Amino acid sequence: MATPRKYRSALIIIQSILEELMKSGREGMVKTHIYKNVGLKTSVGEKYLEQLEAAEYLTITEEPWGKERFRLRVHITTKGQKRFQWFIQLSNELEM
Amino acid sequence: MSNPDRDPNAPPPIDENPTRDGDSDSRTYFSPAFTPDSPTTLNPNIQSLEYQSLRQQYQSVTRKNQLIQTVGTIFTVITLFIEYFIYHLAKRLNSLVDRIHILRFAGIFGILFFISVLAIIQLVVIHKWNTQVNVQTRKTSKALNQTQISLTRSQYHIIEQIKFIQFLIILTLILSAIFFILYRNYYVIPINTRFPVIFRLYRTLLRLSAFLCLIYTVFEIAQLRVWTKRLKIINRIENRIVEEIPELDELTRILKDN
Repeated sequence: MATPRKYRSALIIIQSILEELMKSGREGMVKTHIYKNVGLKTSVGEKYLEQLEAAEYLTITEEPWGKERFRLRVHITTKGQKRFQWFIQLSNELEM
Repeated sequence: MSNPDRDPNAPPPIDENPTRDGDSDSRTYFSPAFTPDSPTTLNPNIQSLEYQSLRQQYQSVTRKNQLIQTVGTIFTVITLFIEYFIYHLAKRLNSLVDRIHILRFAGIFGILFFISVLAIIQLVVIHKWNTQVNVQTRKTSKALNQTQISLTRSQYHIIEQIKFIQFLIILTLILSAIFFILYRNYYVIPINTRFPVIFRLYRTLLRLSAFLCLIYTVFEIAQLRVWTKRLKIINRIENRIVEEIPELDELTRILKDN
């Protein structure tokens, strides 16, 4: 099995993205705000969101903005929430 | 006329010639200046209730850890002082005639000193973790948009320290075992019982120091179990994420490249 330590830097980013989405709750978050808050370049952030969406941790929906414009809003899924809560859980002290 | 740059409640701008963001999605327009609607989007300090409760639980865990470690450290320091006092009493009882007895006292004092130092180091590590979580919260509530709470950062901060904490605990347990081996020799010391009050005080303090040290040892064993369990949970969740995101190698690589 692969050692998670090898992927630690990527795992930190993944958990940070999930945390940002947890903070926003049901409202979700616009993509660019996630990049800004986590401190990611757009190209890098795109790759991460793509992978997290494939893993079913989040969903990306398109919403109209203005007359012809669209923007992408990201929502955390129940699976994504569980992963973050599980990560934050320390022993059995935090009962989820 | 309302300016969407200034008015957060202003509707999205309507433009006949929309600008496209080629970097992300061809149909998507991003502009940090135009960020209407969602209160969480406008103010990152407004957090969902679920996250708030998670944060509060996390803070209570860090506070509890600090409290436990503080009590443990106080125990070790008290034991050290008691030991110092015992040494003077034994001297008064004229029992420290033999060099070997003086060396035993010095050895036990040294061991307790190291146990106290290790307990203080553990306390500092846990205090830093606790402060990190709580200072972030204070800063966030004081200055909007300046600092944001990151449980992830705090969590990884402590994850990096778990191995070190485990090492400190194991060292403490070894030292405690040596303390108890040496402690058995206290009763071998020839005591001058012409001073019954002092002698009784000496025996009481001996038992007290051993009792405090025993409690701290039990506490350390419990802490070792807790930290090992935490590390296991972290490894399990990280392994699960590694399994669920197959292209993690690439994600790690692009982080290094950027």
